Amino acid sequence: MLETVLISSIIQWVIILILSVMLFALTRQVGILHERVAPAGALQPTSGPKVGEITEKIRVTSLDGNEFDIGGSGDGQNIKFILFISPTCPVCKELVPTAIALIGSEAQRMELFFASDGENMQQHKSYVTDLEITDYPYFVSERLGLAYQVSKLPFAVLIDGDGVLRSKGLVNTREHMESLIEAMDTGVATVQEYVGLQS
Amino acid sequence: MIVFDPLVQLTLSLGFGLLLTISGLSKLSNRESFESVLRGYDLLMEKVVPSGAFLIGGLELGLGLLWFSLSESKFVVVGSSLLLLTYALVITINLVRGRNYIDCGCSFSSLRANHNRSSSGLSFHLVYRNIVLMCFAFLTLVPVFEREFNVLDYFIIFFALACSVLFYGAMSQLLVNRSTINSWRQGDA
Repeated sequence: MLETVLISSIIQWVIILILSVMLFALTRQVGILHERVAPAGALQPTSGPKVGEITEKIRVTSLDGNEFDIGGSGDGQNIKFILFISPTCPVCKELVPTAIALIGSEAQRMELFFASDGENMQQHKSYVTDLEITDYPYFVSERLGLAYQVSKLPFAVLIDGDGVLRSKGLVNTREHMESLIEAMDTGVATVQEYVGLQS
Repeated sequence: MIVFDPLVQLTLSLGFGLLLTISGLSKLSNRESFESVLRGYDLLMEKVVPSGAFLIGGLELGLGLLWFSLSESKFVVVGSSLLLLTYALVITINLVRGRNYIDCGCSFSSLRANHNRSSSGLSFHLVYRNIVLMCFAFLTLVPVFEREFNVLDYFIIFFALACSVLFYGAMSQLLVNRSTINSWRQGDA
């Protein structure tokens, strides 16, 4: 009996030790991944308005009927983060809560807007309800998409209080959206520009 | 009255001995790196930094060896707890100052002269860790009953120590990972 207890105790300790080694190895591997895989920035298209330019003033109406001016010089209001999404884009659905959390952490200086395109308004209304974004302005505007040459979704545009386009790009992750804010804060639009400045 | 098995006391004592001895040796053998860590805390005058670094390393090594001697002295427990408390206070002061980006100096690998690993910045997790370690240190003051150790006991002590070292290493690595993730937002990772 005592021998059985002894053997089972030894086996248990060996298993615990193996698990501890695996836990340590896993945390180390995660650490190495964090060091090697630095977050990539958002993909910035070359078409459309350039970063640093004053944007065209576009009057848009949100789904709940309120009118907003997007772009144009000198209203001095908060920075506008416009996320272009669509009911037919599966990635957009995943990204919306992330965008709300990210812009929520920048709420003192930034406002979040959603923009889309299409004719089926009922579909957009259901989409907004499903995503629980009824508190945020949601525009259905072809003109807005054309003005910023939005060809792929989800796409984000950052316009400062003076109407200057601060950054834009295709965004698929939180890191992509953060990179747009970082680009605005640092004044460096792309990784290539950053490398160019360093060399 | 609570009475512990002597196995718990012995394992804890050897664990603290191991932790403080390795930490002290690491600080003494990488004096220059540890001095720059001390400067980072910005609490000591420049002229006393080298002697401070030597004193802290020596104190850790001395306490570690005393833990190994199993002297059952309250001085070792109180001394180690005071040291951990001082570290917790120093970290808290710098966190209050907003200097959470400085190297905590608590990762053995980060002190190596040729290290290329990220080091853990300051966080309240390090303060909580020190408080937990202090609680473990005081557990060794709980009275123990007397009994003879057998082979299985030594076997358990060995495996418990090995697992503790690995858990401590994993926890330190998680703190470094957390620091790296947080630094991404500032773009300096």
